[in-house]
Amino acid sequence: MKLARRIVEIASVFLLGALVFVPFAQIIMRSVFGAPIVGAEEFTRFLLICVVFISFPLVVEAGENIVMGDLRKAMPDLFRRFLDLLTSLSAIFIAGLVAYAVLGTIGKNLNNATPTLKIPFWLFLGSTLFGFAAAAVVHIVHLRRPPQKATSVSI
Amino acid sequence: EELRYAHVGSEGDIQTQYAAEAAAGIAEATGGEVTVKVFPASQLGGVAEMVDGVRLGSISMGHHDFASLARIVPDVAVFNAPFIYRSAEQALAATDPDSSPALQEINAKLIEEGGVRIIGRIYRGARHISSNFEVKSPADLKDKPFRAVPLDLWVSMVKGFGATPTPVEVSELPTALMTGLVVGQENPLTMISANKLYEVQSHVAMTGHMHSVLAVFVNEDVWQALSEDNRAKITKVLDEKADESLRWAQESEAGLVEELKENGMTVITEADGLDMDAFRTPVLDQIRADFPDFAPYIEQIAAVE
Amino acid sequence: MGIVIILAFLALFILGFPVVYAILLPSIVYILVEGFPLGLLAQRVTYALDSFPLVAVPVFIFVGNLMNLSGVTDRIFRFADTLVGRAPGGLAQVNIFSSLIFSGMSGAALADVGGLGKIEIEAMRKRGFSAPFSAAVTASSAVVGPIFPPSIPLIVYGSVTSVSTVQLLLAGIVPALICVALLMLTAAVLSMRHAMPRAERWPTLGEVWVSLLPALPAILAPVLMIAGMLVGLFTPTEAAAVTAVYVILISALIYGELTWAHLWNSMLATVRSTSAILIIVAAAALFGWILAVEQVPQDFAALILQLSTNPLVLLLIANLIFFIAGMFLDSTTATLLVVPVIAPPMVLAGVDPVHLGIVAIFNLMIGLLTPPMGLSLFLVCSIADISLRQLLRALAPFYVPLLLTLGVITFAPDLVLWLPSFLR
Ligand code: NA
Ligand code: NA
Repeated sequence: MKLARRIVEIASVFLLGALVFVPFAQIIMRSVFGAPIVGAEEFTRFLLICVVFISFPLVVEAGENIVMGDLRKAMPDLFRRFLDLLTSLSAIFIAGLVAYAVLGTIGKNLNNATPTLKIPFWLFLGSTLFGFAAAAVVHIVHLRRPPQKATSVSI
Repeated sequence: EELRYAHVGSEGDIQTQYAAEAAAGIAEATGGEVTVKVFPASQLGGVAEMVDGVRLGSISMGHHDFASLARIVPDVAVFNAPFIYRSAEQALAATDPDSSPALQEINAKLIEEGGVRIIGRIYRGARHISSNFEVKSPADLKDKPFRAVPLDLWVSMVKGFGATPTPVEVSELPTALMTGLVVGQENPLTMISANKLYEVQSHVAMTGHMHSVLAVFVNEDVWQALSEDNRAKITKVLDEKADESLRWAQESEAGLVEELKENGMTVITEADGLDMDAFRTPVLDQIRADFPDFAPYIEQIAAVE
Repeated sequence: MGIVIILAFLALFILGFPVVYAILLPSIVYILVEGFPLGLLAQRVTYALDSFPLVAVPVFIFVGNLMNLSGVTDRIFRFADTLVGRAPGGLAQVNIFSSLIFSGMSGAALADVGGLGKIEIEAMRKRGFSAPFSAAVTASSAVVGPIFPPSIPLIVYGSVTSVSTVQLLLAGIVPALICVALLMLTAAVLSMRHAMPRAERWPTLGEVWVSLLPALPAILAPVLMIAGMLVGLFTPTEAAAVTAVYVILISALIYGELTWAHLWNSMLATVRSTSAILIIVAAAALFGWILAVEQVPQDFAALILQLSTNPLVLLLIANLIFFIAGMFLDSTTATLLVVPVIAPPMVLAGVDPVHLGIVAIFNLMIGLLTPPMGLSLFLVCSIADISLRQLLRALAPFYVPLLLTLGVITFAPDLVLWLPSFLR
């Protein structure tokens, strides 16, 4: 689990670095060398999608999903624990179903690619698949060991 | 049967009028057996989402530039290529799904590989160059930053113009022109007027380098689920509307030229010294070099009367 | 059916389900019940983020994290505090005014909260302001960002309605200045009433100079950004990347306080914040798609347009529609869904499209500050580490200047259209 998190962290940080670097390189290429990189914008958008989904399990793992928890906090203990369980189960169901739906789409769209750079679309969808599948796994782990953080709203 | 028809055109655009009228026409022609609910202005998502939505069947049909289908069959972009049609009328004939050999050949591939069929087309006007200085030949654009639609075909064409192709997303185009990030762009006059580009551009060169024809496409399973009779009726409605769209575009172009002049733009035509051959030759050479696969289709298109 | 989905979302949200799942659950049930292909789910959620303007969000969050960790923040605020710390409200005024400056380089309110907000709240708390008050000042002043040029929402509005973007951007300047003035007045009144901290005396010229020097590279950043955009060196989205590289350079080379650990930690914090926010944008895109198919925006508009065709009444109705839309949808989704339906009949009835644009976007920005889907609220809560309830209580007085500005924008079209009129 620790190693897996480390790998995801490194991947996410690397993607963010590229997300900053590519538009900057584009400006330099365009204004200093007069030779803009064709497809830089497309690649940047691709990186954004990857950053968001690849790092989603980190969000879940840290208990940083955006929640309005004030009402639940004020509820009787039993009811609150019931809702906690219900939330975890539906989170597993939703994340799992999204991952399943993405998997099916990847199977159908193999020849799909972005217009300029020809980035195959299964790469985009692959990040979505990874994000939700890994999130589902983390939610399952949390069934036994829920995250310590129970703030009402956090990012 | 109700069809969901999505497109990205906004209010007042020819394509929006086309979709609305085609929907009404289809309901009438099929006696209400097939109804069409139109979702304009990217309500069901942007271009890529719409194309994939039609492939999946979550959207029944849609329309956009032929090049938007290049993600399924790259060669379909040939119908967007510059300087390949002789006139607007010929452009419509060469994109007729019933009679154009080039279109039929590509349509078979689209159905096979993407489950999407082109069933009609819309004429949206010729594309012209706008700039904030006088442009009469590629020499005037030499090495200047010129906006390229972020697609291979446009990059290739702008290279042919002699300018430096600079990709700018459409949402950032007015700002990019205002600040001089790019000094020129090309679009149909209706877009130049609707986005008030005359506030940031001084000249229009009436190059008409591209005839903008949009493909109307449908999910193949949805299409085959309709009766043959209804399919024929729908095709007929779309064909009539295609001719009407050409009329709308031609009627509005004259008015648009006047409107742009009133807003202070200088309009340059061949009579004013615009050198069309100087544009045509290098652009076509560049396209042929960058897209060797287009060659047979370009010939087929040229052969259409 | 559309109403059922909205109610289901609200119920789950209030019961404390994570927002992303509160949106996805009813959407998934709808897809299964209506027999839409499951691929729609995959496609919609993924494509929603295929947007160049959204790239600015993580980059500006990154800039904020980096500035905080590398000491740039402290120097800016030492200077600002020296300069106007004596004014009633002290750093609260600096917070509001710096949002105006910041908005000259950012097109998005969330970027303001995520970037500058972090710095501002930190500094205010160090100075002794309460966390909820600091958060409230930050959240309310961030509303100004997308009204003052450049502005991503106004550019989106322009592209949807074919209204001149240049005119829209110019039209935002006066309302932004009015809003800033009213917010500063509110902050002054509140801080005098509650005896909040302010400096003991005005600074001497020497003190200003001494605090200016270390802050200068940081203060120059927005100037360079604006200049770069005005001479066409880069687009607003690219400006975000330039800011990030610039901040890395000055904190590493000039301040010498940037370590690899700083860089790693700020990047890690950035990816988590980014993902937590943008995953909601992704889910909301699916939700918006379903509402569009169910014709919810259209039905709603048709219902309300039956009431009147008087332009002024229509504008008030537009306010209501956009205000409600802003409560549920993020500004881009709301613009894409609601504007194409609302704008054409209103323009026909005589409402100026540029005026309507400013009204719409200002409402949607206030929507970022209203539950249930107030993304600014969530972001600022996490930065200030306070609960939503604490924030809403502190924010209450700041709704007054915001709604006053909205009133001025609505009833004084001449004021809004004064600058664009030079282009007409
Ligand atoms: Na701004
Ligand atoms: Na602020």
